[in-house]
Amino acid sequence: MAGAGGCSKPDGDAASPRPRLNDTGITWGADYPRGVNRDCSATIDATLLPDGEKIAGDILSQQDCSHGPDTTADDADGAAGFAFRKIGRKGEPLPADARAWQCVLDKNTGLAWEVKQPTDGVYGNRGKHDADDVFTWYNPDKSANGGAIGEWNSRYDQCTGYIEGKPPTYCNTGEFVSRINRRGLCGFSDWRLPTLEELASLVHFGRSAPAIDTAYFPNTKSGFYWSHSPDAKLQGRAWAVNFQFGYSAPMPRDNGRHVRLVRNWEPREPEAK
Amino acid sequence: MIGTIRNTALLLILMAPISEAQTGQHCKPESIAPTAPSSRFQRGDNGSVVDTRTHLMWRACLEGVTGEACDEGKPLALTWAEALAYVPNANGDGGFAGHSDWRLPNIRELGTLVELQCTGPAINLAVFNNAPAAGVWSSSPSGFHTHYSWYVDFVTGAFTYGERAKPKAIRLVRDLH
Repeated sequence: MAGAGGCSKPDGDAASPRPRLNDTGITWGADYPRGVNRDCSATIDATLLPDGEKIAGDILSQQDCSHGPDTTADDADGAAGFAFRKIGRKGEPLPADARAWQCVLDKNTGLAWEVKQPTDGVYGNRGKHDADDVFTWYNPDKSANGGAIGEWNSRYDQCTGYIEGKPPTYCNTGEFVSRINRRGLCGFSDWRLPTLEELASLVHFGRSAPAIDTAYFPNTKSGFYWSHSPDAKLQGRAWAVNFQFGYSAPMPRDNGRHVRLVRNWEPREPEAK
Repeated sequence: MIGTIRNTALLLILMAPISEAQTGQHCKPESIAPTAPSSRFQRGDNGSVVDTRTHLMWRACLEGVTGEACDEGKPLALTWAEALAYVPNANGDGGFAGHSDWRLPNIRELGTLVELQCTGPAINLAVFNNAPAAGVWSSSPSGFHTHYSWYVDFVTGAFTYGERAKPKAIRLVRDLH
């Protein structure tokens, strides 16, 4: 399955043995109690403090902008500390200035991501990777669905290929994953819905609307994208990330939300249980 | 007699939020995969915890809390500016666990502690004993809402943001070299 039609060694500089956390993308400092700066600086405005509040001292050296790869990275392979590589139709690595690409490898996390096609505000008219398409959350796997299967969504034409009465065409996350893997994407057929932590790893917290590096992930909507992670509190909800600002929230499974599929690009050691 | 009953009732009312914090956690191990299993963490003997996946070292207790089981004292409640200024002072006073390079985690680092199998709190209590279901500040400011900064809401595990002037707890981290 893995490697079918693809490259077994896609990227030399992704060969680090251990996946790393992405940095946040925040390269600028914030003032207190309000304000943000262009550079990594910070001041306290005492005139804006609530009555009786006094604060003095160093509020810059602990801020996000003072730490991590973002402080030194250039934008050659992704904004700030992000390190991406464009991937072509058959899984081949492409140069950074390639004008057409189907997937993106995150060289820090070792995850590869689906790239969406241009958006025009209409469901289902730009192929299987139409950025406008939305899906309900559906997962029949009892060991991973939080106790309920979610919403099958037999009725609504919200995605490419929907045909009334034909379940494999329905606009839910489970059927979408199956459809993509039936034909394969970027040479692989083991794409899946990302966990919440994986999905949130793409958030560029230094940007908004959308909070992602759009040079590699164009056509990203400023709305919720589904994760695979169920909400432990209410079985009718699952976790989603809002790419307007990057926050996460549990959402009702019968909502139509966007999806970006993921796969592990390199075999890595499974996490111990 | 009536006075005693009244006092007992008052005591129960006063204790209620505390016992709720201790026993309010709800987990679904049979139907949700763990995101922060105990096997990932190594507990040090001086109040530190190493995450073998991220190679980060954490303070086992929130700042303000001490004890082997993090059951002595109350978490500090700091504004975002107080949280930022607290850490250089603590490092300057000798730091903790033999290290003086502790820092405030960014939002993504702090998020790696979330255990999505559980809520109230969404954290592994076998590793982070007595961690409350509460908001914990990150070092990351919000750019769009210019008086907000990012924190993890450990009631649910959400990455979210709130006013910098509102007090929250903090948990320190350092890089393993």
